[in-house]
Amino acid sequence: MNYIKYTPYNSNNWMRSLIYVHKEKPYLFQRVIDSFTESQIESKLWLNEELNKIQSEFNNVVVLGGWYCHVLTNILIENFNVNFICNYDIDVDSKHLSYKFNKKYKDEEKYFCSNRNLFVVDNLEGRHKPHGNIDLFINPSCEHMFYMKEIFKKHFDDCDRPRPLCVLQSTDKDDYDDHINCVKDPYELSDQAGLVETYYTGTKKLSNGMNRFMVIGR
Amino acid sequence: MKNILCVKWGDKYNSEHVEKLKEQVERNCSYDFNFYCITDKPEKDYDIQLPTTWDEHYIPEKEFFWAYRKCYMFDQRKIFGSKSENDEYLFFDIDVLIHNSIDPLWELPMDKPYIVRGWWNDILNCQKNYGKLKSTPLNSSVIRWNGLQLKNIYYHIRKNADMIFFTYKTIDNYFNHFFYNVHNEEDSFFRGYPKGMIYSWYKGNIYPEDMELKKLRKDHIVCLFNNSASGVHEDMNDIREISELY
Repeated sequence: MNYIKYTPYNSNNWMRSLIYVHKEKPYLFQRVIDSFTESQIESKLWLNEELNKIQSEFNNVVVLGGWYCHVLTNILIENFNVNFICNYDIDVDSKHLSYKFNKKYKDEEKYFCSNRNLFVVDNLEGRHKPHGNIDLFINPSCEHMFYMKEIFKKHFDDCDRPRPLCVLQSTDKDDYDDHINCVKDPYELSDQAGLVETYYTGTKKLSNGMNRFMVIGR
Repeated sequence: MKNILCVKWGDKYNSEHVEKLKEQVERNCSYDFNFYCITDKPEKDYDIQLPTTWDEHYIPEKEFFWAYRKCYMFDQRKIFGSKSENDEYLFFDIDVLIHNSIDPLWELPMDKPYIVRGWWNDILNCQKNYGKLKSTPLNSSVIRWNGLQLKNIYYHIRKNADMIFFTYKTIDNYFNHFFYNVHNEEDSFFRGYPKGMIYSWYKGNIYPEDMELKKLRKDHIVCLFNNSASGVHEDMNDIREISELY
């Protein structure tokens, strides 16, 4: 199942989003193009492939730092039958554009984007509640932020919420200003998150030459 | 009471730099004020010991300049006692050049505190790079506040110190993420000083129409030299046009 289902509504939403950015937000156009690079897609398909070996369906998902979250939302809803995804991304433009890319899923109330910074706010979005426990947590960009164990402590352990299955990706490529938290290997990534059980640990050389690390665990 | 503050630590600046700032504000302010330097090496009567409570969070490997030390003054009760909570405050970085009277800085409407909105920044660039922790439109070289207007920043830092010090190389990027709104500037916690008051020696004045670098604009109030984040470590006293103005 290492593919995305490029449905007619995905095509419609994505093409209209690209046209919108080109016309109305040209200063973001290159960023949007960057979100569709070969290596971006490789990372998401890798997640798709390995996560599916562990569990094939999820219900209530937190994505942290999901950016425009187009491909990942598609994978989670179309391949893992997810009912609700909240993408927590502090960037207002990312939220706005993610709603364009995910218009159908948003209209169906399956996709929501929050600008809350989970490192400082005390609560997750209340929209998770009707869907029960959060059963999957994904951070596809740990290199951009502080340690995940702080998030797990604050939003799960300290408030007696069961820890969901966690999928974390990062890199050792530290020559970007915004890569503030690179790790040397997936084991360091796992340690930073305080995972006590790991079901997958791996490294993938992406087409852009970057090492991508991924851990799946609790 | 009006108070003018600066903060000095480490070896980048010495007491002569502080004296020059003091001379400049005395020459350019018609109001009565107290002058204080919050420093790790108190020498003069106006020096006050810099607190060190956040030093435990400093991460040497990150090699950040760590101007967070400025933020101790945001709950000035910790430094000046409880009587200080009704006073007026104006902070200057040590490396500023004051061309004209700073009285207008005391006469601003104070429903919000003020920080330098670098008008030399293209705000669309700031929006584009928001998530990349760069291109902040803010510069904390001149801050104006009354009473306890900034105490929430102090407590925000104290509560989230490890995350903030790990994530934000400069306090200007930190302020941009938590106390400014690059998409709706009027809605921000801080207000920027109006155009025409403060400009930057290294970055210009107003985007895009007045961006000439290293140009004195003597009709403005303050010229900023802070450029440590971009790796330029030129001392303003070594710049001929500037040293002549002292």
